[in-house]
Amino acid sequence: MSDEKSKIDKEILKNLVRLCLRTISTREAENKTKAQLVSDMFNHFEKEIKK
Amino acid sequence: MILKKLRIRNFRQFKDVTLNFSEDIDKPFTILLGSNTYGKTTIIRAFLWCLYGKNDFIDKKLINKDVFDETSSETNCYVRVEIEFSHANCVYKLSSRETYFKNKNGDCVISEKRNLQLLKTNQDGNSKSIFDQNAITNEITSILDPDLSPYFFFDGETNKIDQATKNANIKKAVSDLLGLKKLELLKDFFDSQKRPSIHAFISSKMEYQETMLEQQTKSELEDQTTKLNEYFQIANDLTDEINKLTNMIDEAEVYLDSNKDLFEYQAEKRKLENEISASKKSINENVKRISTRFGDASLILNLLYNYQFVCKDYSAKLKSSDFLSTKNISHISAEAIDEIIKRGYCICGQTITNNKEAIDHLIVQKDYIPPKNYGKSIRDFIDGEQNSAAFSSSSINSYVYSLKDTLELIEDVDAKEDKLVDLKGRLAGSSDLIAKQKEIDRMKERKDMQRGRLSTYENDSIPNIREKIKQLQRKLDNMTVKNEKNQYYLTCLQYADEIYRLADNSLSKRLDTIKFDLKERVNEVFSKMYHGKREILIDNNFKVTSVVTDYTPLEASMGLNTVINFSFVTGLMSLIANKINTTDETFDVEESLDNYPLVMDAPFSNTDENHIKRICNTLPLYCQQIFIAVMDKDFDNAIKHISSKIGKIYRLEKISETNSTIKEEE
Repeated sequence: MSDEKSKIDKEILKNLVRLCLRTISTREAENKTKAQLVSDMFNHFEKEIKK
Repeated sequence: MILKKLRIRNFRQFKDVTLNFSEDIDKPFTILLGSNTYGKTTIIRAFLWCLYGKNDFIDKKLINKDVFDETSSETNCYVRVEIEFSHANCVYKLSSRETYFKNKNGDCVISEKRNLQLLKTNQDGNSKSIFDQNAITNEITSILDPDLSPYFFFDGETNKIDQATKNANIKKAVSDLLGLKKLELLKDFFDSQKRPSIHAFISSKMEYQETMLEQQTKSELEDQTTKLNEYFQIANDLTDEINKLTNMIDEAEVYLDSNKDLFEYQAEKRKLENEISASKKSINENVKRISTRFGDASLILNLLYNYQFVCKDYSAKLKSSDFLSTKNISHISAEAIDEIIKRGYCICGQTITNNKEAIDHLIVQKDYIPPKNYGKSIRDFIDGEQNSAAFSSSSINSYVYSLKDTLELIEDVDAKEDKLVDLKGRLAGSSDLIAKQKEIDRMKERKDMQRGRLSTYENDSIPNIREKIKQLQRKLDNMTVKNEKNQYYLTCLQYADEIYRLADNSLSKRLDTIKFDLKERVNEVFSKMYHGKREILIDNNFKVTSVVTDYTPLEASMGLNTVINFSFVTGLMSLIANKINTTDETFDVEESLDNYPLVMDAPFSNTDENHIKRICNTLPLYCQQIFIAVMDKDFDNAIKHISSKIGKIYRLEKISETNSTIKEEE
């Protein structure tokens, strides 16, 4: 899939990284499992990419 | 991490002392003055014990001697160290306590090992108490990794950072300290082959061509990823177990070390118990044998009766008597023989009147009839009794020996049981240290075994399965239905792959940058502290390897080592203070990194006046808080360089060998 890299929007990518890092930061405080975190991160994908 | 307060109760020579640390950035120094043996090193070790459970005292017992002496027999006393500090906008109160028991013999036994309590208050004033020992250890490790502790809590007396950090993962500790943990976690979540991962989550939502081959590939991929996940889980479990075992072994060894005398008592007790048990078994067997063989009293009497024939010489007495007959004719009398001779013929009818030989024969026969033939019966009786007497003698000897042996064993058991009671008294309240030693051996064996298994998973099973998954994933990607929904998921996957790639690149770039910056900063500090043309080299594991002049390695002296260690930790602090500068804008993972205190015992003990001046001038440039325990003579050399930067001064006062106190100076 790396051959289609040109489709990647740098702004979206940056937002996704920021949001996912934030999700990771809340891990301890919210006591979430890894599977829950993955699901939370995917929700960021849904919001950012479908914008 | 900024220190606020240290309170020590009954710890070594300190009964109850409190130190408040200067938190003023303009006056970062807190000074503790004291001569040798007043307790400077003990204060530094109190920190290390409270935070990490490290106990470097030769005599491992921490309890104050006076307090222990005053403790009543068969009661407890305790040691407690409390550290209050702030970190990442939270205030922490860590309390470490160990309980000692005085048994009835007055011996000191650890009855409850180091127990931690943590109170964490956030910036909103909400407090949380933590009692779970592992949770507290993890929290402290995440604040300041124990692998870095020898740098931040510097014991100038031993000055053996090299040794203390020999097995330490400085690279990981430094990268965690510099806030890269989050980036590592991000990379993990976007690793397509790990489960759970974003990649697997998105892939599970995609639609594929419903062909047999696709089903087969999907199910194969699923099987392989499940397997890989299991392998990761096993590898994680193994790592956890190995770490846990390492901690448990360390703790158990420290405990054994601190109870060495009791260990010897327990070994003696175990030996005595085994000996007593063996002796009691022998006694039982002896008693059983004696009672089986000699249980009947009449048998013993019979044996004793026989035995007397050995002592009394009846044969000699018989020889000197009239009873010398050795033959015996029964049922015939002397009168009958006389009658046969008188009538001149035998009862068989043969004439004997003129047969002298026959008459003589008959006369001789008279010696074989009563009372002359009694000699034969007596001889037979004596012979019989003498034969029995030999057997009786050996039986009685064996009886006597068995009895004697048994009595000796009983006496020995009595003496050993008295000794055992004494040992049990000394050991009252202590746990079984020999069992602990065996447990340590078992744990070490298990650790080696698990290490071997982990290595197989890491170097063999996991890489193999990763390659298989890659191939299957490629095969499946080619079967994806080209519909709108899948197109969207494929776009998501592109972002996920890109995040993984960037995270991976960023991590290695940051680690390279850290290594480079660390070396730069360490050498920058070193050049300020050290007056000479030398350079510190840092290896790929972020450890100081050597000092060189024009690329020629030099052997460092104690004084130079001190400067190197200060340079390393100060360079690290400088790096923390200035954060990591990378051109990578996407990964703005930098958090507000905290400052750390420098806690040092006798930092100037191996350095000359010139270096003291340089160290004093350099440290405050990079460190927000510095606590120094120092002798007056070294402080006299340092004060002129730091007088305006001192926030608090304390003085150690030695009342006795077992009682030191601390007073704040104006």
